[in-house]
Amino acid sequence: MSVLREKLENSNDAVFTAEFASITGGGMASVQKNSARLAPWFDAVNATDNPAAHAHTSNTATAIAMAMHGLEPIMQIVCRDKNRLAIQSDMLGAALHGITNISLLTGDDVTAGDEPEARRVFDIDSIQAINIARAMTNGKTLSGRTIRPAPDFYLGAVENAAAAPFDYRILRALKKYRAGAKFLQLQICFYPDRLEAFCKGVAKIAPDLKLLPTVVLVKSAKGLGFMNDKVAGIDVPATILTRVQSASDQSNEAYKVALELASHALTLPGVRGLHVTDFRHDESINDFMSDLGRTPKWQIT
Amino acid sequence: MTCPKTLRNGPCGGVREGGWCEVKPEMQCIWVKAYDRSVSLPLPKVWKAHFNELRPPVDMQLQGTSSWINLVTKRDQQVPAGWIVENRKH
Repeated sequence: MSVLREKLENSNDAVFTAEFASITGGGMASVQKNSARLAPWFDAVNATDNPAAHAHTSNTATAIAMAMHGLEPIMQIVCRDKNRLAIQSDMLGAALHGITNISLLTGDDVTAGDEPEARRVFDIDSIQAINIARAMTNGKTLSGRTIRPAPDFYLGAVENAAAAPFDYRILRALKKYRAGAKFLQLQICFYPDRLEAFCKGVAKIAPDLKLLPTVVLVKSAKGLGFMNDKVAGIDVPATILTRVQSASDQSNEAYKVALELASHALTLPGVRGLHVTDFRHDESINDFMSDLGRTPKWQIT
Repeated sequence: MTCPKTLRNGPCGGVREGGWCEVKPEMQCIWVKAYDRSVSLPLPKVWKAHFNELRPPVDMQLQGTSSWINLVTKRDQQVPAGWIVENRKH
């Protein structure tokens, strides 16, 4: 059983997940370097699938490489680049390599990336993909063919608590839960009030759904501005932008904002841990986890 | 269907502040519009509940055929053998 599943389903321990930096070049050395940074702190780490519509090393290859370097992968599959056959073969390929944590996402549109002229696929949507994955765990492909033994997936998804329509996001989380998702990694959210309303709502109607809100570590107001302008579904309120912009030490202020958002998120109902996205790429991830009261699995030298 | 991502089960996570479409920022998200109407219009409860139903993958074989005929013959209700919707209680 995956550590992620064991911890979320059979314990009350807080769970921390992170995002693996996408691999383009750098070979296994870059995988090793990234894994060494994250392994002491995180229970599982996302192997992304062409994030922000940019081509990178494939989700399956990344997940396998991560596992080789001691990380437990959560393999993401997005619906933008693959039709229903390719999505099922991603899942079967993951199962072949013993990767069982699968997270299914709609995915950013091709226009968010550097190849906007590409054909967008979206043959199925994330909720349909979750339902297909759940049926696979019962030993059936979408067409009804038998898979024996059935893959033992632990299924997750993503939801954006900060995007309209706010009330419906709770119902959409329920829809994902009913389709088969056991955990949700939430999109980065700079509105504590929206996150709180979402978590309270989900805890009420789907109390078994495990929520992992995302906090992002950036170094400056420019980093926040980039997310606000370029990343689909993320809005950074002017109060936060101004606060970081006007600080004498922007890096420190941005860090403090992330810590405040994280501390608040961890108090919310239904929340079982955090997902951390690190765009600082420095040692501050160690400080961040320590400041949240975590201890590393082993001493970092 | 005017969702540029052709989504069938609600809005994606890319909806912009104010409810605008991720792909076409000048357009209001069709799912935001649909949800608002499902709440505000005086529709029968059973219709409103349809909004939360899990819709199956689109059958691409039906592209270019008459949706009215497919409705009458129930061809549009056919789903793949492995499409199984569980009625999970919460």
